[in-house]
Amino acid sequence: QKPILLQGHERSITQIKYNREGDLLFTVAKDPIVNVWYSVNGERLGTYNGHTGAVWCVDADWDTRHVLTGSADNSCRLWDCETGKQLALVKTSSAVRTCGFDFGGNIIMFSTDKQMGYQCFVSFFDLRDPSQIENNEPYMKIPCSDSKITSAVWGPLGEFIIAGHESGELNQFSAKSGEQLSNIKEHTKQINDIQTSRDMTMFITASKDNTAKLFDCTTLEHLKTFRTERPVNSAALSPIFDHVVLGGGQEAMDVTTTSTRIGKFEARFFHLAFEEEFGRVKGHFGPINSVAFHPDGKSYSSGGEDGYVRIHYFDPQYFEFEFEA
Amino acid sequence: DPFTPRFDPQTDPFWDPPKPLLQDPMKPPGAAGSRAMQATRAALRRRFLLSLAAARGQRVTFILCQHGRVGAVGGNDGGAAAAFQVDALQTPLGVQRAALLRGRDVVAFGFQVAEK
Repeated sequence: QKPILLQGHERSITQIKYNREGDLLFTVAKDPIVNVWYSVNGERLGTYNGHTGAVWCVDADWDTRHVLTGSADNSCRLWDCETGKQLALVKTSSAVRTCGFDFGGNIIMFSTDKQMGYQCFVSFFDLRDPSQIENNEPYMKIPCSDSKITSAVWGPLGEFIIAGHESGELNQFSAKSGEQLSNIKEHTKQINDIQTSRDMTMFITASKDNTAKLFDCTTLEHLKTFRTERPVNSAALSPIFDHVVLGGGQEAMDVTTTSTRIGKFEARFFHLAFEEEFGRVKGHFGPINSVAFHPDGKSYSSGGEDGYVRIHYFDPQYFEFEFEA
Repeated sequence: DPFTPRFDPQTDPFWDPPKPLLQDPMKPPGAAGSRAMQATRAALRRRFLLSLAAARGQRVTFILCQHGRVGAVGGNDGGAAAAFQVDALQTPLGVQRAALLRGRDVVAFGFQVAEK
């Protein structure tokens, strides 16, 4: 089946994310436009206008009432999903790199970059207490004095967050007290993306060290490694099969100088247990920056440096595939 | 900065034009704001989008910088982005099934308008 091409950004895609039900796909890029699309046919539902710089991250809450975005314009914004209205603006001292709603949709967390003398922080706001956002006073702010945070997700039940750092480290921080619960260093270079499994027992990391790795959410035990020969920008876990999709590629500026790498912009599929690649999907004109599985596992999407987002519905063969041991 | 250009909001290696060596003397700063200028831009833009739509599915010749010339079939690009999506791009290295031509690389393009 031919992929659906979403063309609504004029700069590199930074992140794409489905809502819980999968009927909507949110896309953000290095331009200030936040788009939302119907995933079934690629029709654009609308845009969330307000950011004035590159948008690094996006998330939707459990019942798709709210949308959260973080930007290089030093703000994290909350939007009403349906009307597009900006509900809240949290000003920060530096770019917002990663953001997310907790399981219940009541608490938002975001990390800010280490820039211009400002430290890297993870901030937590409880939306049920309007004074926190009004006064820009998060109920908790965790400083990261060492390696800055490059990706972060909520753990199961909203008890902790899992943060990936530019050093390749992974940390668990309590969402109640902010204390560091656990730490592991398996990657050797920065972690570009972290995504949890649908049941939130595991998460996968994508790293500049050319690998993606699978970990247990609670213990941070390193379970699997998926190897490629170029930086992995994003990784996602299939909700229905033991499959993983990785997206990455050389930086566009490297491509012009090393001609042997031209055209290698594919999404790669690995079998979870065997750590072996079983498929590749070409199509992007530049490196892939973000991948996401549809919650029903029957399709996946990829966003690239070329500004395109591609929605791929799997052929019947994908569902009949049996990995030969 | 250990962050690659991918994480730099000011640069976008895929899209950014190469920096000009000299300032353009024909372009005074802040000239884009006048109403007449905006009307002209809107009219030109509309004509450009109509021509893109007419080129869909037709054989198109692209004239590129430095006298480069390639043929292709007009693609399904909506015209919003700064690039031309084409099918069956003929290049000296062979035919590319689908390709993206950066807007800044294209000087002109021409095609036969299909007869109704």
